[in-house]
Amino acid sequence: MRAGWLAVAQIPLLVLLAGKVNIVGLLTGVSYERLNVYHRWIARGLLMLASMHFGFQSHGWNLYGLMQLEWGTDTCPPTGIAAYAIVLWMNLTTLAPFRKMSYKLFVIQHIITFMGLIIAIMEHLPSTALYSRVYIWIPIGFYFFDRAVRTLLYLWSNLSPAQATLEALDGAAVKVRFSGRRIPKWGPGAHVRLRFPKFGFWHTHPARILSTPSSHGGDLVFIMRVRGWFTQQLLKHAEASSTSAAVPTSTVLVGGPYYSSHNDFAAFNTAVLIAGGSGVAFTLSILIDLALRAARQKLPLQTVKFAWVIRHTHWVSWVADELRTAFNALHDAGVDVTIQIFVTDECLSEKSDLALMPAVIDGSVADKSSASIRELSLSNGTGSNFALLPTAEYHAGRPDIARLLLASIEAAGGESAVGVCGPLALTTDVRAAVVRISDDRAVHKGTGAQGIYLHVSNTDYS
Amino acid sequence: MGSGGSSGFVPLNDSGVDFSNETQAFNILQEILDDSYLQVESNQYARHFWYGIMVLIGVAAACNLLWKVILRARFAPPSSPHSQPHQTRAVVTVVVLADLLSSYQAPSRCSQQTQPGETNTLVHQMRVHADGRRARDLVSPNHTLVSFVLGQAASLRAHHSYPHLLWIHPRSRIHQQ
Repeated sequence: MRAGWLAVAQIPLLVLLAGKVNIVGLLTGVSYERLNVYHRWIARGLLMLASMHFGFQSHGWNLYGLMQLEWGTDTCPPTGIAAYAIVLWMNLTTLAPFRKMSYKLFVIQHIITFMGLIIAIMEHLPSTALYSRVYIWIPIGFYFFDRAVRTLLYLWSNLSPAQATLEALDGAAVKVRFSGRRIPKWGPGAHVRLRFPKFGFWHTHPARILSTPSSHGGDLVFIMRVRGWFTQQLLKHAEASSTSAAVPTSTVLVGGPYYSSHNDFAAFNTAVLIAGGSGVAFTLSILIDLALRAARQKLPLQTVKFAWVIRHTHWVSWVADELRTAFNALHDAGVDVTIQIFVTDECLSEKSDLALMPAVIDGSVADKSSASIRELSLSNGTGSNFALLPTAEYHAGRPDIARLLLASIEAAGGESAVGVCGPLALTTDVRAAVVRISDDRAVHKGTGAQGIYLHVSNTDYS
Repeated sequence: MGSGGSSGFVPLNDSGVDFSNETQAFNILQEILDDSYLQVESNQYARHFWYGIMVLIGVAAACNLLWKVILRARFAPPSSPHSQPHQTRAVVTVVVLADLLSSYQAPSRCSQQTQPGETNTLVHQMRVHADGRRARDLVSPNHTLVSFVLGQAASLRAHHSYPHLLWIHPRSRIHQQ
């Protein structure tokens, strides 16, 4: 009985942590993606409590051979088992392998089964304690509040839909840019959900905003790598239209923006920003924000290291202008800024045309003896890509994250902040490296070593 | 037949109940299902659970707010501590000390005998021996919590992360380094 009651009491919290517009996130400064982790754990707790409720009740009836009588005379067992089956199903389908099969399908069935759960629990709650239904009415209120706010914001933002320009980029990526005058101001690292009616009204895609409200003339700029059907269609449209004289455009509807929960990197002495592939949208938006603010006011920030792991050097062209502008602005403001590009699918050998490379190409960060560095030759064609961003240092192979971080953190004159966005392998490496460095330097253990702040943002929103 | 099910204070008793008799079985089942006491108690548990959640969210919100105050304070131009608003300085000081105290961890191993206040020396040694020895091996056994906090405060002030910390102990020896 107690377990069942406590299980029902979890439901408001469950819904509170699931919404994209929720008061917990507003108060605690935690983004909805992070709160979703707690949402899953609360759901697992609910399953455990429901199991205890079901198990102990059944055991009690079985003890006296009353099971059949109870099932035949009471409506609670069938409605309870229905609710329990739904909770079990919802927990199982939330597991990552099922979720990743088709995220869209997962969301749709999750909402439908949740409605089923609400109905089953309403029926299951005893008529002797109808006031317990408050634990169901409250989450229904939370759910509709979230939906109502998002719908109103969506309608307001898309009263006059923007026309997005699409630019096909090397490396199967698309640059999307549009002016969103009605879209509320966003902070660096924020993301939106984009819907291109031309490619299916029901398809939405999360995308990180690369620009800030003060950069790119206030436009929203995105870089989207081709991963699924939706982005494939975008690329096809951009490529097909690029052959004609007209700039490819498409109507776009925007949901959001949804803010990133990271702390202000300008408040730290040293900022290390690490990105993998299209994760650069996150770190670059922070870099642009820092650069714009550094030009206006004196920041506590003294050093910025920007590391970007890409497969091919020509990917630099995606954001070369932005990186160059940010580098110059930070440099002019007296901030020690370093941009490092790590190229994984090409290797930069000594035989290559070093004259084309404005910065050092070596294994100073990634250990030369490391197996991760492959020796390939640099063709003349590839070499020209270095001129795109002469201020950057180019390195072959994957970075040795621990050494990359240690170099900056050891030299820091205060607290350091590390921001990372990219594939799971990269973010895991950074997490592990920060923990190891913090441990080795005995941060907050009397050595005087300054704290390290870490913010991890994954490119996978599911 | 069991008794006292409705009062909730006396355990049910199945002695004398003939479970093959459907009426008697049904009656005791109704007593088992009688939740007039349990529903009150269970609702209390649920309410206490929510009190706990509200406290948790409140503490998290307070920490979030204070952390934002700390970060914002770092943007204040360095100036005389007495020119800062009294309340701001007080909040920042309390938060920084709470931050330091909450993150204190007792040293796990001690390989050197040093005196309190030798933080900078330790850091220097750490850098010298950075090739092989880990910094935590150099933590002094005499490094008390107070000296740790004062050492941290000096370090933070020295790095201009928390300029307001000068206000904490303006005559402390740690600021004479």
